[in-house]
Amino acid sequence: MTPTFSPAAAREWRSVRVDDATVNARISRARKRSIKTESKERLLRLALSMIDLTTLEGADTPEKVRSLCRKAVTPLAERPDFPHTAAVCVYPNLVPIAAAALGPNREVKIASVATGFPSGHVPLRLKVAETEAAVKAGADEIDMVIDRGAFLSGDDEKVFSEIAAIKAACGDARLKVILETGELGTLDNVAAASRLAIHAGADFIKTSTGKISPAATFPVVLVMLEAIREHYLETGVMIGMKPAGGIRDAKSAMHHLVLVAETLGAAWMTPEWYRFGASSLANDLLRQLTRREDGYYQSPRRFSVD
Amino acid sequence: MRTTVEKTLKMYVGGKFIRSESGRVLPATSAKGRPMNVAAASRKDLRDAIQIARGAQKSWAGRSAYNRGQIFYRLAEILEDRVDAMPTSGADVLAATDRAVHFAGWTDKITALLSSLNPVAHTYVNYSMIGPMGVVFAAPDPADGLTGMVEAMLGALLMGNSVVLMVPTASAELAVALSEALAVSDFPGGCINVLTGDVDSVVKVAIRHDDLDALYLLGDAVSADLLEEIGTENARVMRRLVLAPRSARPAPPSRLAKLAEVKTVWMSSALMSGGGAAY
Repeated sequence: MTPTFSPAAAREWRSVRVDDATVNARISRARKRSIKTESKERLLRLALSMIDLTTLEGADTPEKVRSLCRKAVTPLAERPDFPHTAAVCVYPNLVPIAAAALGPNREVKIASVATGFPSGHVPLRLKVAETEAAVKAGADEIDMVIDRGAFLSGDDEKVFSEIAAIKAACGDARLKVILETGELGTLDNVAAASRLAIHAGADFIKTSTGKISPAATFPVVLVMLEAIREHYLETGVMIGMKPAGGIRDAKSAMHHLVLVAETLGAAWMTPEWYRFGASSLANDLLRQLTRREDGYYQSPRRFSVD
Repeated sequence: MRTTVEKTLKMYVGGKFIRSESGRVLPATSAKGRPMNVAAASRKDLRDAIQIARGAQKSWAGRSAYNRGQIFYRLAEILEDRVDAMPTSGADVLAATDRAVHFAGWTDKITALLSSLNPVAHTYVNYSMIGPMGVVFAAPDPADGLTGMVEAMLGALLMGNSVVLMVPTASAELAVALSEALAVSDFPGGCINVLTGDVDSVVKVAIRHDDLDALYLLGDAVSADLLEEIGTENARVMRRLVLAPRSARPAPPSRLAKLAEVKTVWMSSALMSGGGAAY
């Protein structure tokens, strides 16, 4: 069933007001949590298993995607007990390469960006065609960008109908909707866009493309988590969350997990419902995990560059 | 009568003056006999400093030798200007100034001196070039004052390394005065970092840090017992350990070579010798 756009609902989403002071207070409380020893080890492993290992560069080559896939399956060769990442995230053209590299019985999912990533300024029929092509090539998940131009000019209906159309084109693939919060300007806008995306059919909402800074800042993530919580309390439907861009070290990943646990609860603490869009984060997690056993920090040079 | 401004002496890391992340301080006495608190570097301070030094090393080494020489020279100018303000003897400041000028002169010559074209008995050109090692942990002899600090850091910086300079609490006031000079000498942030505190305890952590390329210890920078432990640990992980006498004389090129890596390149000379048509 395709969701239908209602101007009254849109007015409601747009009327949400975020109190910056409260947001900052909650974040500073969450970031002061000290997580040590066994809890830290478990969270580090969990964070590793939640990563969408990403390469979205113009210079991506098939071999780079293959090596990314190898790293996703076995993040550290000498430690086969470490979990694999949740997914690899690549451009649609490279989905067949990733599918071949990961094999038919893959545990690591393939996410593909689509809809004219990163700007989203292409006609809808091309967005739909790109999505269908990516799914056909083997993508399990589609990361679409919303039309920020339309959103900022108040054309919620266009944004809504595009998300709904892409959702329909996804078939069985899960849809992550990238809000590109760095371009939305205010937390109020982030709150409105989150609600819009959720109602239009998003399975996940995602902060950023990674091409714009600031990306996954804590305030933005908290506002999006609150939108997910509100939706869950109203409808009982779980929506996933994916902060992406700018999360480079294990410590901030820990703090993001604290925020999820406190806002949404333990049910979201799985790769099924929570992801990190990142590349360099993986190496820092590995460094922290090996440090727990070796007793010292290994040089970043000892980990593969991806 | 007015109240003097009391301050905690800070460390210099990444171009910023910071307190220890641990919040710990150690008591010391200033050159004028006043009690003061000195930031005590923790394990994490060292890790942070090494990480920052690592980030700054490439761009430091990538600067032209001329530019690095200019920056050393600038440091000399500032030290000389502040000869009366430094909490040490005038002779010490002037010796440190001369040392900075000395190393400034070496920046564009040391590569030529230590690199070589090697004779080989085949159709190859074989040459060896020196390049930086990476991040060097340097500690001067506590009795060598400002000259010792300048000697320890500039020797390693000269070779294109970035440096974490460890100064004992008793010399912290002088280290801060040096840091204040460094901060206005055009050194890019992070290529030289100054930590203060208990040297032995920080060195014990340094020798178990994986992302450190060399230790450069002058005179009695560390206790004799610790030196043995350092030797064992460094041999285990094959990390460079450069031990040097006190800083009465500047590091000779033979020591500077130990603060650098040598890269040897083999290149076929067949094309050059085989192309008879060119003659």
